[in-house]
Amino acid sequence: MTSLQISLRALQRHSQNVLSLHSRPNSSASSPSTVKSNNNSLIRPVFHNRNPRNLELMTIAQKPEGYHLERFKVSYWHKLIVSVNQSKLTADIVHNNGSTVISASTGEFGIRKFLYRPTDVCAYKTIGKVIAQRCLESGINSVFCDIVFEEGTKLSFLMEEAKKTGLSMEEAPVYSKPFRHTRGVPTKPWDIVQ
Amino acid sequence: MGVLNAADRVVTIFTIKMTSRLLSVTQKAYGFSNIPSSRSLIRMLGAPPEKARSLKKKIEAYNRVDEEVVRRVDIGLPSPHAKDRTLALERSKLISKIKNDPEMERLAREQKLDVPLETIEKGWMESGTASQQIKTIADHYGIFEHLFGYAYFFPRVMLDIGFEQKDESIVPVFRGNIVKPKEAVNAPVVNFESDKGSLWTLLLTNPDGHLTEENAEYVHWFIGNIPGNDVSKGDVIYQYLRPFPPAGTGYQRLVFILYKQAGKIDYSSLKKEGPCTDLTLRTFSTLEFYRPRQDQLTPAGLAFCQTDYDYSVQKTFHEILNMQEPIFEYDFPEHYVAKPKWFPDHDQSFDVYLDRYRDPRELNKEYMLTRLKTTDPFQKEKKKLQYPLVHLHLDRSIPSWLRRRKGWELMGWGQVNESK
Repeated sequence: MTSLQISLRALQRHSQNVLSLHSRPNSSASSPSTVKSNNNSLIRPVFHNRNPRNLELMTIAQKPEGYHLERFKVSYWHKLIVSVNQSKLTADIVHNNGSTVISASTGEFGIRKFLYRPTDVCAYKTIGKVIAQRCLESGINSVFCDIVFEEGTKLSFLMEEAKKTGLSMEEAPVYSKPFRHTRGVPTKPWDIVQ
Repeated sequence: MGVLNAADRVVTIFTIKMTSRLLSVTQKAYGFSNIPSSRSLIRMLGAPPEKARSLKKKIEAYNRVDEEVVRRVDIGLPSPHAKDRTLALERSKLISKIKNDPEMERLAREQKLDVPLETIEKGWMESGTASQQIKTIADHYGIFEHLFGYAYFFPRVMLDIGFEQKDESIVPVFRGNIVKPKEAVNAPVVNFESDKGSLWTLLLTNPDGHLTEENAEYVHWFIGNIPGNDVSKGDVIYQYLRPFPPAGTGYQRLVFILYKQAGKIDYSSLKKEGPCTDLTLRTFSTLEFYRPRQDQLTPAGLAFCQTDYDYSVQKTFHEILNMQEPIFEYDFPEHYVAKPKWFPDHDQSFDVYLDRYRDPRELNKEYMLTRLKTTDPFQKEKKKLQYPLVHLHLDRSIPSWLRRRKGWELMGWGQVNESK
């Protein structure tokens, strides 16, 4: 067995570990005394949530770290990328596995037919609104964004509109298990019940 | 690499003629040429960097799968716009008309060309981009993988789904947005465009929430033989059951799939009378349901949302499902603990150092016992001090490490947290 295989096995084991949840005996006294159905015997000690986005939403999923000398940061789950050429303006949401997840472009006929030019200020404003709306509809409420722009430029209009629509440009930090000797009690994001 | 043979060990005694360039490079780098080069050492170092495969290539080779085996199949309806040349011409004509419109130019110049999002969304759905993009995001959420295996479809029929609230507001379902269980108490209102004579099947399943089986779903709502787009006139196979994501399990997907029927289908073998709160009867597999009926059913519409725990779930477990409420905790991998030393560094207190190598269960028990000793169930709780550490700090009768330990216990920091 090569060392590569060993490390991959370890990684796989780690990812399984990450997904397993151990049950805690229920201490609530308000549970029903008369139980009619056989549902009670169903509960398994380990629960496995298959949702691939679950750990990201719980802020437990790892972000790739990259190298500190790299020009572009890769430490994110979802990233906003804006690209423009003569014929269209495109805003994409890219996942760290490399796939483009959501996109909005003035090349789309549905958006283009309302605009005079595909890359003017109105186009930037519209794309900002649309990409934010599509993100919120897709359950992505915050994205990583490393776009540098100056006040009053076209890009600033896009970012402003996206923020106004409700897209957060900062991703939550990864929650990691505290050490036994760390001071303070970090709150688990998923324990805050609304 | 791996276990050395006995013969290899014998060989290591003798220096043999170097064959690996890497070895000579290392010898040069370290400034001496009498490293005992042996066959096993050469084998361990591997091929020289310019000949060896990179880590990326090795991982690619390791993860390579037969493309024919994992090839995905489109099982959905065909695109209405496929290879429609006239449509493209019409669109280009409309765009050139816009370009020459002086009114549009004026509005764009004054930055007053404000298009409402609803209009854009409507255009998005009409133009056919919507079905492409919904498929992409559904893939990102692993919907097709977990429901249909290697099959997928482009949702051609747009679903308009919303949960009506008490205050007459509507919580919509798009493609992954978060809907709380208390908002999804009653069955949602579903709308879609259809011909009068057509028949449809609507299914709501949860692929993440199964309490006993891996890779199984719970069916929350199942209505078959829907005439036109009137969901209330369809046959109710499974009544609506509200979502119940247990505490600590995170976000679960709720997937609505609309199938187009070729004709009337007899669902009497699946039909359950009454509210059907027995979860074993709600166990479902979309693939097993779809496979024998694939000639009569074609998936046409898709919408999904995500739910996570709120306090209404407890009520659902106790009153509707008649069971105890399970509470789960995330199982983090254990932290690495270095081997204990005979003479450890003095950068931390000795009790912290020694606690690191004790069984956490034993420690928790200790904390629990001290708490039980100090608290009396028949007496009022002691009033909590605003700054408890101040009083402790002034107490010079106990050693500093014990003062620190007691302080952390008072504040609820560190290990004492886990025993609660």
